[in-house]
Amino acid sequence: MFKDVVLDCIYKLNGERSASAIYHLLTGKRSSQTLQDARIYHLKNYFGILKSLNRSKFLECINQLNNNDFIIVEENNYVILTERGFSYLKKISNQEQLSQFSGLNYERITNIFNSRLQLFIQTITNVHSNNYSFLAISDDKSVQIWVKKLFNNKQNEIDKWIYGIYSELFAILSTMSQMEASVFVDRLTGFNKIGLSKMQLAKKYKQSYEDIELMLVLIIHKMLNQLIYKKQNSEFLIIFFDDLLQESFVTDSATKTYQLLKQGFGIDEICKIRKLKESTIQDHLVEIAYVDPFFDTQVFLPDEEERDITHIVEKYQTRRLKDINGYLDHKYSYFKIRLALAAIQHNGGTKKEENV
Amino acid sequence: MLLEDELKKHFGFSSFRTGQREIISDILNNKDVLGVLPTGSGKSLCYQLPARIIDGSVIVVSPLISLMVDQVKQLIASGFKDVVAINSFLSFSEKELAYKQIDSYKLIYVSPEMLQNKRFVKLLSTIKIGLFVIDEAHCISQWGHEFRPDYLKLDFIIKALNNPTVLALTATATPSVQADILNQLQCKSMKKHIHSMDRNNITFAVEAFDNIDKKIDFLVKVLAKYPVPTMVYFSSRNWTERVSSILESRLSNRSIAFYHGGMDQTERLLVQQQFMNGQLDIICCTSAFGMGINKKDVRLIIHFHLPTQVESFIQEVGRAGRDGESSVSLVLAAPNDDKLSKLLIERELPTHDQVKELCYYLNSQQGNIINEEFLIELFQLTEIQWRFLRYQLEKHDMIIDSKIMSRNKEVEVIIDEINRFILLRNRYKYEKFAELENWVTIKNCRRKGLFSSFQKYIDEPKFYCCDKCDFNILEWKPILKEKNVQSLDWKEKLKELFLQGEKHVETSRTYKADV
Repeated sequence: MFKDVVLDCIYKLNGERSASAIYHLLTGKRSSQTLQDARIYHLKNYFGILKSLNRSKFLECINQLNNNDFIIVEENNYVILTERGFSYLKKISNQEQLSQFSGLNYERITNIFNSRLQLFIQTITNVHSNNYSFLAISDDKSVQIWVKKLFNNKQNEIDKWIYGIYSELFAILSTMSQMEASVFVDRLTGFNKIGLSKMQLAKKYKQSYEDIELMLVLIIHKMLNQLIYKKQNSEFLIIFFDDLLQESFVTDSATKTYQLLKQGFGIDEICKIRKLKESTIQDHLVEIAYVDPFFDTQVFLPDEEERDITHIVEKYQTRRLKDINGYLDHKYSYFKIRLALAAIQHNGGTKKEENV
Repeated sequence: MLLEDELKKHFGFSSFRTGQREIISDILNNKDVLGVLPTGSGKSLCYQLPARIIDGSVIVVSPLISLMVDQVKQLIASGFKDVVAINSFLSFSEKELAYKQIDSYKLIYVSPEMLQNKRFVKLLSTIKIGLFVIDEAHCISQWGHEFRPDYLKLDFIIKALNNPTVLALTATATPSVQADILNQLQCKSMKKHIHSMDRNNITFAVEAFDNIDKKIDFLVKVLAKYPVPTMVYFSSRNWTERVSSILESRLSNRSIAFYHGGMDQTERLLVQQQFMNGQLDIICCTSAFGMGINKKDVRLIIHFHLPTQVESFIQEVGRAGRDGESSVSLVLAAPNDDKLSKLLIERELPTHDQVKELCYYLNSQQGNIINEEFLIELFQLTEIQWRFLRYQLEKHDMIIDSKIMSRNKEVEVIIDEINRFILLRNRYKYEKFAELENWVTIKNCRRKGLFSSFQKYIDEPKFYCCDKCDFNILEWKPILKEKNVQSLDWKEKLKELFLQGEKHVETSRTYKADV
């Protein structure tokens, strides 16, 4: 799966970015460059799905793809998919799987949800078996505090919670592949049963370490998708992430700018208040435009200008700002082009996606 | 007050283990105590129980942060809540929180480094301290196998804290190390409680081979013959991984994992708990594994590589057979084994060039405040090397209170003195290592040989003594536990994990009836 994800990234980046852009994307680097790449190139779903990936493992993968003629690494380190790589990517069977990653959406939830759930399961199954001293499998203080609070609230209905979580997990896991369900269950820790480490899972299921890591993330994303979009009714599992959904997925600085904007301040006023350059504030606005589909960009980019830019993007199938700017004879600022790209994304993307 | 009642009340045990009662009763009578108790004999109870009884807080200085954190976790898990571990790994806000409510803790674990912080010591001096415990007290002694410079200053700290009762604990201390502990702590009147380190249910054996391949073959043979909980010790991370994968390919029906300090925290925790829980049969580990491990039925401890001194070896072997059943220590020896150990010894202290370069650098920075992280990075030092150097530089007044001083000695003289000291210590460590090497090739009883420098007598062995007296590893008859290997599909596994199997059906049915 790791290889497929990397190939898909290279394909979508259209030869316009270097390999390290992919590395930053997968490890979830919170820089505005990486966030923008994720949005412009429709790679949001892969953002931060492999946080522990180390650089040498990544380069190993790139080299391997290069040696197999799936990709070409150019002198400036930009990466391009070859014919061979393209036909491989088109043929792979887990295309549908890959589309279920929801990296950027769940980036901050994935780990917390997972750790809370795991620790709570460990807690209730042990308490139910009258074992009150066990070592917590999560070291994260905030997770421990959260689980303790939930446990204190529910300790009189432990049977109900054990059965409830069991049933909901059973229903969700039944919609997944045998392997995914098994991997997830093997990873769980309960009473007298400690979960397997990633290394052990990799060996047991004959996968690479990265593949197991990706599979664990994918399982959680699929779960969250089902729970959030109500494909599964949930009374229990939803408790483990409900409070996290409110958080928005923009940088803290952009959030401040957005607040001021909502209060009615203009760009130049915000620059003065926040003592920031205009270009920085523009970065924030683009960031918000990508996240919030209801953010009204009309003031900065009138409709007809947006249509103009969209047209060029679709015609030339490029998202490279410099090229778009060139095709439009430098008529619009980069800021406007970026806002237009954000809008395209909300309108369901260009035709290009349908090819994959 | 009956101590047994207190023990039952706070820990649920009905009787003390050897040595505990005497030590605790001396402490409660405000006597300073040096306790030498073997690994696994329940040393920590000697201060955990007093912490429940005496007025004021108990401070425990412990050099092993991971052990400290494990203990605090276990205490909290067992319901002992007013306990905290204060070390350099706490974040700023966690530390501030702990400081703020310092007087609410009955048991305060601290790393020796923290006690170098004047603000922290001052804070401690404002609360009532009922007992000051020095765990792993052999680290005080320059001749101890794990000398820690920070431990040398403990006598000052004890004075600064208004001389509370002192308890020094260790599992391994020769008579000369014991004398040194008393001397360094300036507590000549300490009461000594020395207990035999020899465990009568452990049998010793050594097998030597011409080359490493034969050694691995024999390892596989022994492990195949005895499906018992086993730890295999290595002196490098790399080796744990290598041999673990060899074993996996050659022993198909056993669960095997490796463990070392370089692994991710969660992964380490899982592997450690799997072993404790009996899910793993064999663990290939470095010395990082085992501290704070409380598994009763480890039957076999194999040293694929030797540690660097007898004391560590005894400590590692002591993790076997805590349930009193027949257990074995097996050492596998091959030519050139000593190379790795010697390398480890050399790497522990800085090289001559490192000392020279650092001293010249500091000499050019007089008057500045040292930046530890920067220096560690610049001179490629390990944490232990830096602690050693800092202590030496402070001794030579080159650093005072983190400030680089103008020297009163020629810098060359200081470099010379430090390097001479390093040479001396390395020579001492080679000698310590040679002791263990000699033990491997000993002609007569291994048990007597191993413990001779610590105690005059050895216990009558409960099962076998050693390969020189009465034992052959291939004829051992350990207790074997039935292990039911089930291969369930995920649905059955999930059901079992959530206790929804046959015997639990009742609960879920009642619940369903309720709704």
